[in-house]
Amino acid sequence: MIYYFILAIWIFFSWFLKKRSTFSLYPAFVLFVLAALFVLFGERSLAETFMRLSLVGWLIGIPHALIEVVNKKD
Amino acid sequence: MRPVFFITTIFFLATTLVTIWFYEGDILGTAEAKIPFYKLERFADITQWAWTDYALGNSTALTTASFPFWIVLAYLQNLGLPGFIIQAILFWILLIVAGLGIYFLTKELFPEIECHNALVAVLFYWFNPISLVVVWNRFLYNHMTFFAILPATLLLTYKGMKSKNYMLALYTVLFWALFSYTFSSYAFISLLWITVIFLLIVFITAEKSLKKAVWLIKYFSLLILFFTLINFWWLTQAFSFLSSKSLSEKISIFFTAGGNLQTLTILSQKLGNIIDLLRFSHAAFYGFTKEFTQEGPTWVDAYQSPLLILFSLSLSGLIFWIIIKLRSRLEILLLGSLFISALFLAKGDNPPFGRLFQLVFVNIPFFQIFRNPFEKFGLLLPLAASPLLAMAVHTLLELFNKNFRSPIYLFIILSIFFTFGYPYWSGLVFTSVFPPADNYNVGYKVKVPPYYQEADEWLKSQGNNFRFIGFPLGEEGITYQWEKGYSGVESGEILFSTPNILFNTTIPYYSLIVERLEELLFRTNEFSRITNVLNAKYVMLRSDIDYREREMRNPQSVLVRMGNLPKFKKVNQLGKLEFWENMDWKDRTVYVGDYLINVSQQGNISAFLMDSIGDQNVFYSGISDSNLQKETISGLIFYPEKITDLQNDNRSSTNYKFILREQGRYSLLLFKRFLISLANDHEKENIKVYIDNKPLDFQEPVEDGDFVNYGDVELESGVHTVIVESSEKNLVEAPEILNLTTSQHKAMFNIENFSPFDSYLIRFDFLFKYGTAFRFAFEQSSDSVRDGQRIQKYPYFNVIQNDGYNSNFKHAQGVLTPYRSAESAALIFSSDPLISFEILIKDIKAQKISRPEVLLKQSVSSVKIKKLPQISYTKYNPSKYKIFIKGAKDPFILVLSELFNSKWEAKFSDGSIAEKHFLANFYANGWLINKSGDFEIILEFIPQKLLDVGKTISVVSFMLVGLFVIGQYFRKKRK
Repeated sequence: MIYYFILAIWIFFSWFLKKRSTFSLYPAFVLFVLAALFVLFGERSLAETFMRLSLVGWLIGIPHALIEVVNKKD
Repeated sequence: MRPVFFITTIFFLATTLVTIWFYEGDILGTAEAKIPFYKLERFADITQWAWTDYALGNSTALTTASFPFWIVLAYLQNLGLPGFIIQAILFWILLIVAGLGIYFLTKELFPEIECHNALVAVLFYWFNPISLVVVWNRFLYNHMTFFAILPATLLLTYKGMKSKNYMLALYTVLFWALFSYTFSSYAFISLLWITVIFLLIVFITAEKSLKKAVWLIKYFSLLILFFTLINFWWLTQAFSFLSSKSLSEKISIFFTAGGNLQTLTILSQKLGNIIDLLRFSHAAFYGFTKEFTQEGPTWVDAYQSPLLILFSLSLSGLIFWIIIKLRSRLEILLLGSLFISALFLAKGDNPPFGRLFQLVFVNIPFFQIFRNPFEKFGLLLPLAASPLLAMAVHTLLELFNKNFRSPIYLFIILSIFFTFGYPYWSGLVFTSVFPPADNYNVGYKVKVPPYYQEADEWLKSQGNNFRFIGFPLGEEGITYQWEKGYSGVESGEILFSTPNILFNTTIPYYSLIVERLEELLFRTNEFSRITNVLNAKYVMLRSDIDYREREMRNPQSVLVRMGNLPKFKKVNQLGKLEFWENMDWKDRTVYVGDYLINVSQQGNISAFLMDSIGDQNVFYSGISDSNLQKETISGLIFYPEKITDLQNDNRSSTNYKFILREQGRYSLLLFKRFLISLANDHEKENIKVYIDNKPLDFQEPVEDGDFVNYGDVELESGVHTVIVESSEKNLVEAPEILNLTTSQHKAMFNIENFSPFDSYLIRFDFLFKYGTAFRFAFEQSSDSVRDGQRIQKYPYFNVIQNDGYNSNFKHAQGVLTPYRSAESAALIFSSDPLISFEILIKDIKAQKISRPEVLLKQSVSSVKIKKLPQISYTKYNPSKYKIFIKGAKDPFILVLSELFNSKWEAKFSDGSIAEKHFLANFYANGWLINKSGDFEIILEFIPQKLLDVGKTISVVSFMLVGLFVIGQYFRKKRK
């Protein structure tokens, strides 16, 4: 359930505060890098949590970027 | 450098790879893919019909999609090309199609990319660890063809939708038709369409114009239309199978939504961690998780090094970096969306949002084909990642000074080439943890001994109207100990043209028959009655299998048994294959029966072992009595449903329930094996039978073949219970108190009168005087041995820990069911001799749980001897027979000894159909024929008609579309 909650908050800030897609993409990337470091140090469980949070960011950020491209076309 | 150099490089690399894989001149084979390249014409022959007579017969259903593939390869073999050359050519084509597909896809999406950077996409697509495990190591041909056509599918669809050119839809369907093998899997058909629909959605979203959206939908509809027309032949079989009773029976018997969900969850936990998916890795194969045993061979250990972890995660990092950097480009976002969607789906029901996957999985039963999401959706990850990676490398290099670009490029491409590519270049990709593939010099290489060819020829020379049964008989998996052995699914249909039963599998009716065959071989001297019902003329004994690896029976004990079995005679020996002829055999491919005996659902083939069952009697079920004529029914056999087992100190009782529709007089029979075991113990008088809780005081039991008739009882209609109670003695000779100490750290007790077909209640009390733990093992003669260690069946019962409360003896007990192939078993108590301990164990008992086969039989006294008609038949192909009936007077039963399928039809010359079709003899097709005189009947498997029509439509459509495309090409050229 925690991920639904994070998703809702993320979408709220990203869309209702009219942020750009980078608002989701940059944190997603940072979370990915952190998770990768945790994997290297053998902290699989912590790394997986960060990767999951990162995935939430990509799931919001990439469609958001797509919408930006489509709107820009207009 | 010019593109032709890089395209030549792709050809060169593919040629080098297949040369490395096949230079020894051996075919490769394993898993469900079997060894088709040993004799390609066998699969070509099987997949051209809607029905195959292999095993007990079965519908070929979706495998017909692979027919063009096999027919072309079989043609090459008939021209004289060896199997390994054909396999090498096939692998070469698949590598080339995949390589060129991803190369041109990358160039189409990112035209600015130089050819050498596009080569990064090719190498990554070929060598990434997902392709390594799911495509090449998994070694399934439909996985390989899907992997090959996926990039070109994306390319053609993208190009068609972008350029608004309908011709691309035609190119796509023609291209798919060349690789129709892919469609022999519902999952890959769905995935291919999911990819196309994904592109359609992205394009509709991006276009934002109703007119363009309508065009895109038209394009998509055209694709579906021509796909349907060109693939009509196998689509008929797919829909026929999906709507058939066999599928619903198979699903209801062998699969449950709950079971599938459990599988999904386990596989998601095992393979669906995002940290592993972003390393493009099968976590269990590479041994990344401690919770699950490493499934890959020891060479994968190298991939656990931090340097390689860093390298694989860096590639994902590059992909994410390019998505952010070029987020204003539609192509980047298209691939980015595909990458993230594939990631989301491949993780299955793992968080985040795993419940959404579960919701669809549970509510749409068809989606359950994705119960291994990693294996299916995972293949989309390298597809999306490869062009993105190439673009990332291109963009990254541009950030550097020109002098640094070449070294950095070389570092990246050589890293992919050597780190991911090493298992390919070394041939290790075709090895596994299981013998013989754990020997890296052998791997998946297979050399079938020449005596198989001789045996096949000899069987063919004996006629084409029988099948044979091979012993030892196990489950689907088999390991052959040949010079270069084979481990995978039993390949009886490739090794032999004669229909045979060499393994058991999850096919309704078939599995219930086959699971009892080995037991009956050892239990009854009338085994020929069973082989007659199955139309089996020969029993084949094979001693070239690794029976221990597969927990099968020792071939030597089958040999001894065959020597003692009446009515069987050894007639040939070819290499390690022996053939024993059933001297009572007569052709029962199609035969005429006299009377029907109604048998309840739980019935099984052992019912033929009653002497009171006539040679021409036919058991039937699945049709109401009122649909049959009373005078054709001679009896009823009722198998009560077992409800509970109860054990106490020396008695074993089994409770059964049954519902009688009619009152009447019933005989109660027990299968003799139960009595034999008791007779050996001189405890025959201790059997007590209760009906409706009242003890039955029967007369001296009377033998009826392998059954014993306890006598008759009058029963009303309604619900009844039967309880069979017997005394069971302790089968181990153990001391009153066993003192397990450091000096005597192991004790072993054999189970006397051991039978692998019963379960055992094992009990003992223990007391730790000091020490931490001891081990209890149930050792069986057929336990498999790996690296010198026995792999015992009940590891969960193994270690008993000292919990610190040692004032009294504690009790341990469990029910253990041995392998049906075991010949002896023992209880072993042991502890580590290096640790000081003393443990007292007392009351060690192993008590048989006898689950007697009970049945109630009702005979109809009014039956008279019938004069049966003369019969002869012509077999046109596995799905069509013509039967000639001569001199029919009374109603009779026609039996086709092929696996029951409601789509078999019996048609008279006047076009009318025999409507009374039922399950005969527990597996076969039976019809009640109520017609007199001389006449003909056509027995036909209906989907064959659809297949014939489908083939015509497909060939005509393919040719028309092909001619149209060629015509258009020349018209354009002229212009």
